[in-house]
Amino acid sequence: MEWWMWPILLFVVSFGIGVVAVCAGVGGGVLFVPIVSGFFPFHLDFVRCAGLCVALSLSLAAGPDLLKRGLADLRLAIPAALVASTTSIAGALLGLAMPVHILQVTLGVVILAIVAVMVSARNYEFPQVRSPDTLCSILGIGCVYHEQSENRDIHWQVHRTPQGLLAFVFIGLLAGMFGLGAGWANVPVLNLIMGAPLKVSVGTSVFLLAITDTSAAWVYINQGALFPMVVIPSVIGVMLGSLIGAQLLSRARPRAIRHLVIGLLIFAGLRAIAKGLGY
Amino acid sequence: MKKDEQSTRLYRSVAAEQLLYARILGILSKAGLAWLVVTFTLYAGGFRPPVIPLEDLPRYWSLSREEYLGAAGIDAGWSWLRLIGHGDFLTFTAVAFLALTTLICYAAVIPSYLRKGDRIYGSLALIEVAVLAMAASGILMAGGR
Repeated sequence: MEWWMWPILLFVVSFGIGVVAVCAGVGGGVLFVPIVSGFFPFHLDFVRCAGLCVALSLSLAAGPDLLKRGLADLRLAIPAALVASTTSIAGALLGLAMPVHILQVTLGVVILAIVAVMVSARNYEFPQVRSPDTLCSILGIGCVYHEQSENRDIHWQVHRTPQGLLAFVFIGLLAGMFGLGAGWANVPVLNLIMGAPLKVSVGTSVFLLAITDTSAAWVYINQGALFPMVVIPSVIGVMLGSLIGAQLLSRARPRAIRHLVIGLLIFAGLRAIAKGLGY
Repeated sequence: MKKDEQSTRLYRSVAAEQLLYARILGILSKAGLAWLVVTFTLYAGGFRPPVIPLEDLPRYWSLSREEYLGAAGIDAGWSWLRLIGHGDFLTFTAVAFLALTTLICYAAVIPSYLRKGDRIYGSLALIEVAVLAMAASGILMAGGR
């Protein structure tokens, strides 16, 4: 196979990931690393760095609009981001020091666990938060956003802030270690544990990726894991794909695509385990 | 409600720091992504000779990062700045710019928080800048070169 075929194929696959991720409502990062590491000849070091750059770029592109519309909340994000970005550095250092075959097997197990979370988590559009906890009151987390589908303002607040921040410790660690975007975990924590409305949880999760993944990405970049011909076609492919995916969203069948994504992740997770075990 | 009135209502309910962050992020992210496309075009199009010839890439992309650095004769950390005359490392400037965007946005909102007397968020943002700066500096190494 000619050398240039691999970057072109990577671009095409990344484009497809971008389209599918938007239609299925999942982050591109969680699909990127297991699929590319399982089926392309690139070393896992370069794939993980690319995965972080992909998630980071998507977040940077979507962030401004989400912040302006109040669908991402800076006060909610800042404490969570500080925790997750710090532990993502530790995760990146740990991941870069681990033997690759152990990392592959662990990645496969984590991907299958992510599938379990995706299948079992039931999100709530407007969780009931009777009263904010002490930490939430001190931090002054809570705001209002305009729910366009109902044409009304939604005043929201959160609770269980310490528990939520504790969860972000592990989210950052996993994101840094495996180069995964953390959207699959951010949303359940913000929505189910802390009680933020679903749209604010999703918007803030997307925004958070830029901060969490930036600190981990720097560790990979400084350790020599940035391979331009892997990172850049991936970033451009996923971003273009997500633009198309957003256009297709109204016509797509989210449940069918979500089942496809879950199937892909199961296959990629098993492949990662097999690869790590030497098969 | 007219779209303009609706937008105004939305923006008014959002804190000033959040709007400031969004404005700066919008400018920097678009500029960074455009620069990414430009530098990659210069690299892949052969307009800037790379350190590693394009046809030799398959010999390197399956190596671990340590093996790759050793085989290519490249150092880790910020030493790539010495090589930005070459196409492959010119693209690093775009990736680094995108990765610095968050730090710049955070730094921009700190004065706003402190002016309002919000010392908690001013401090949290300052600590985040320190964390990102430490990650970017390259002082944290994991057994690499």
